[in-house]
Amino acid sequence: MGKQLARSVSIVGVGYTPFGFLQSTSAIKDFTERELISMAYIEALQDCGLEAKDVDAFYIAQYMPETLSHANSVAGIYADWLGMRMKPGFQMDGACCSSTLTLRNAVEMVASGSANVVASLSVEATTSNPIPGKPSHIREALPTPELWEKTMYGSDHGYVYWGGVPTSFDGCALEYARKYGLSMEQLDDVLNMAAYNNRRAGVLNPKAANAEKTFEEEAKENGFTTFMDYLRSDFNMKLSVTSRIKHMAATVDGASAVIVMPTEMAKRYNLDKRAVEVIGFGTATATAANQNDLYLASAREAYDMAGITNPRKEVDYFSPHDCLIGRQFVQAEAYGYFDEGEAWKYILEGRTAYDGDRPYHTSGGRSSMGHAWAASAGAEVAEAVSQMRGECGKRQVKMPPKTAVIANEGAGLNTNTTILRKQ
Amino acid sequence: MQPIIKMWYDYLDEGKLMGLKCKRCGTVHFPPFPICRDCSGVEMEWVEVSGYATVNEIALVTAPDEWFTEYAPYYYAYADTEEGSSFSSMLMGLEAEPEEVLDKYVRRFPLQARIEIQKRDGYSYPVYRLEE
Repeated sequence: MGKQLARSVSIVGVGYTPFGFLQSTSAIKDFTERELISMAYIEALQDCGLEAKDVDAFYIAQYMPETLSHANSVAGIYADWLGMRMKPGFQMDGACCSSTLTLRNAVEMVASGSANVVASLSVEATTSNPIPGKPSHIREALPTPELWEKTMYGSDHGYVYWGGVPTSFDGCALEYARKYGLSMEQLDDVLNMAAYNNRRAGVLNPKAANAEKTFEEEAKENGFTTFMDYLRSDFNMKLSVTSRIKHMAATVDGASAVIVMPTEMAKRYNLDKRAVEVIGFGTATATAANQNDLYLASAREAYDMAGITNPRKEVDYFSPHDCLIGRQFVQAEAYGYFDEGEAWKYILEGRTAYDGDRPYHTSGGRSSMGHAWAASAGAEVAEAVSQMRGECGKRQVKMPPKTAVIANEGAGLNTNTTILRKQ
Repeated sequence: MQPIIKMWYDYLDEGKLMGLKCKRCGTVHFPPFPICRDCSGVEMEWVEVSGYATVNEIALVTAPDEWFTEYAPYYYAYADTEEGSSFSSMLMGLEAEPEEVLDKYVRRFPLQARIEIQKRDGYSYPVYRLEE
């Protein structure tokens, strides 16, 4: 066993907003970041029957508040929106794994005994910016290429970053194809099926941003007999050697919230039936590292803490961080959810879909639910908790999972692993 | 402490590929860092590196940051230098249509490359060129 927490900590409340566009999605239209984070927090509080006064402290995950929201020191700003005036609040940035970093820190704070109930909250608005000098609901659209440009600088070293935008995400997919002898056509089909599996869940998730229609419906509308013919066609335009438009993370606005407390306290509050214990976490950071090394470092820390030695057998829900859809196979194998060379076959056969025997996240993933930078990781924790409770309705996996692994990465520099267990 | 970034770019301007070598264990860091990744030593000296590297992964960049638009589309290499550092940069000398890249190049990985210095906007940058 690896390092152990000083006391067991469980998630009791979760929530996330509809993912979408502040300028046009009806449920969040004309919101600012403030309403988004409040909405997610209220949902999480109501999920466990607590009120803001019951919460001792909060963490805020926001990757780029200054760049995207023209705000700094946001914990102080949001404290009043969260009904948490004068309480300890901390903002953290680990790019797109920020909201599981905040969860890790919230768990650690509770485990240390310095607080009992802590909220891990996150928000990101990636599709529009407030306009300096105007009220923050007055916004201008942020085109995706500009967003990526703002996102990518800081990839160190005094080097100006040559890597460019997500079209550069061929690396892991091509390497996987080389390693296991896949042809370009096979690789294309695997990536298309990964997007298809995501979409099948996304259309069942009312909070998904990019899932109004099934791929079958889109195929028919465009004159194709099968969804795969459609996904292989120029309607699903290629953006690089391997990536197509429907593989990409759909950048959106959203917020998520997770509330933790000591497992013993959850029992006293009669929250234990729906509580999910955080049994392990791991974090790794580095510049220009091989991505697999980062996954392995954070996975090792988390599995050691959780006492998991055979994830292929012991883990029954895996949430890949599929901002690049090829991560669905490389991460799942790095984390041991699949044996080496196994994941692509499961994806191709639809077995990683919500109704498959080896499920991935059931939210719709980053291609269909959308990707709200810092907020997505927390939303995937919320999705996993809902699955473990058996509360996911039409997209519920067949057997509510006992042990879930949520993998997250941020800007290629950070990885974070979260392991959950439902007793 | 030295102004490491400035010195690195100044050396590049002079046509030199320089890294920081740990005096305690000999590990060479390119690009340079002040604390050794292997032994945590903090006594460093500048040394010239060979510029040879092995390319492990590549990606096609079709929409780079604005500073590099003139080069697009170009390939980007994830590579390890001969001295053992991870260093990623633009990759020159790869000539293939996107659909040919897997069979023509990736199947033969790791490929040898060499760092060369490219001038852009008055500054000098290390980029890779495939050795064929």
